[in-house]
Amino acid sequence: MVRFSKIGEGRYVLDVRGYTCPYPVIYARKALASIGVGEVLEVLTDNPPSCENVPRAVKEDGHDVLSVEKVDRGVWRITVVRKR
Amino acid sequence: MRAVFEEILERVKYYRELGLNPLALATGCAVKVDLLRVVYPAIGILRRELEGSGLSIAPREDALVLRGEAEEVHRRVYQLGSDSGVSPSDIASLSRGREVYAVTVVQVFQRYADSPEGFLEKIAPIYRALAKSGASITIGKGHSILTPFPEDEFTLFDFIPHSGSGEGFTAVNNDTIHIIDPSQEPGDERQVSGAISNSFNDIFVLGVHKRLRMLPVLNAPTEDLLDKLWENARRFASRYGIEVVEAEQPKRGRLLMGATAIGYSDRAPPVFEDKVAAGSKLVITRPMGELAPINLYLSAIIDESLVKDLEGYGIPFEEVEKAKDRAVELISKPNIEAASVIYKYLPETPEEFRVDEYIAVTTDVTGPGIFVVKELAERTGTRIRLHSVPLLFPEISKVATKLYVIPNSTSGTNGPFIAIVPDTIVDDFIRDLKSKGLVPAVIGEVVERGVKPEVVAPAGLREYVADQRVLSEFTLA
Repeated sequence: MVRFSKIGEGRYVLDVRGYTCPYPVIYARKALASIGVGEVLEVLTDNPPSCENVPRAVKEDGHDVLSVEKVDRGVWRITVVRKR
Repeated sequence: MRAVFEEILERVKYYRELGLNPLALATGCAVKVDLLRVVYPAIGILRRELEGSGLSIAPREDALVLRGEAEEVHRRVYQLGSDSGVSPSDIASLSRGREVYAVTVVQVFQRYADSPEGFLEKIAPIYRALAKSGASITIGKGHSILTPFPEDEFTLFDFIPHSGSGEGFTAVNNDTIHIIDPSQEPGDERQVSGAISNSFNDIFVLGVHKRLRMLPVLNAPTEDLLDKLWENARRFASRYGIEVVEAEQPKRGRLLMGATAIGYSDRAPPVFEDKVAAGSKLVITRPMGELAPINLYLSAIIDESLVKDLEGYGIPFEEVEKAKDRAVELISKPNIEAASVIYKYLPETPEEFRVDEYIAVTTDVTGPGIFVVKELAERTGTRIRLHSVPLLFPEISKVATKLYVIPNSTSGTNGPFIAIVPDTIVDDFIRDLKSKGLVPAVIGEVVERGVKPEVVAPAGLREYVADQRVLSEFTLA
């Protein structure tokens, strides 16, 4: 199950662990569309190709990618700021 | 359109009742463990470690090719990360003094597939145990796939003891797929047909189309569904004259479909990399890009806002659906006709090869899509100029790339073949392909040989490939 929740003021987490391409990109876009401009989305993924595809796609949409970091074995957090 | 969405979402629910999440079953682009970053470095480490033992790992090939006709195949299924299931005496008894070749499938939990070290932790114990058998073993072809479920991990070896002599050659390949089209029932005949066709593609591309055998790899979460998959596999085999060899199955995990495909040819395989002549043409047997409409269709089902995006590009959802159905039809049809045409243009023995009469090299267009042309340039040490990149659904591929639904919309499954053909036989080759109902085209030519490998491609390729790692392999002009 995809989990999307608020974890702080202006900060959200989207957990797409267990999903492969192209779904992390699609859910990340949906999540970004649902938060406010200037707010932050953390995407958790365990699908290695998504570490490239998600940042590339959201940058293309005009958002800022703050970081892509490994947080656990085979799990990455992609942090994005909605810019428009 | 609402009814279509509801029907698909209902099917998603059905998959979930079977313990499956169809959205976590990769349709093609993400199913393999990253070859460049994970598999090759891991294999390199293992190869060095096992140097001097009886086990060797062959350089990467699309299919295992053995001289003569190989008869025996013995399957073993092992748990990853442990050597407890590997019996050295079992392997020694299979060998009985003969060289043992093997093709393997590894299904690894995706969190262990992020680094060569993680991957090695899973596969090395088995390779080390096999090396202790005392038998001379050559791992000829490996196929490594990801699973989002840790309990679905396994590795499967099909061992082929063979004396390595005789006329002609035997080609062996293994491939598996989780699902072709998650919007349809897993028991739909096209799912298994596509998966098994894809397994045969790497041997068909060598012109092999006779004495076909297969050892299916089938798994399903319920007995009923598993029976249905077997029924579909047998029907497919009967339709194309393929012998079914029943063998041990993984019996763990969710959905998995594929086979070890075996065939024999009495002609030489098209691996004349050193004989490719400048001026030869690159001929594709039909347009490529089966995966773009499937991924776009599924993405639109999940995110209805994509339907509006599509309309903005002048593409109605119904057109994507039609393209998806056409792509699934193509995937589920084996490329056996193209194989028979390639066979016609191969010499009986390697010594008889003449540059102006025979096909030098072939490849199939699958996961890496158009990148296979760069691989051809590297294999042959040539500069290639691509004139065109024929796609099945150019507009859909363009939009799928723009929306990041697929990073490389030239990717395919059970895709067409590209052959390097001397100018003197191009017209005949194309005529023969057309007579089989195919849609071939000349897509480029070999400009120069004995140079740094390079592919000059039309700048328009950017519209179909968003993956910079792939694009950077081409000189766009």
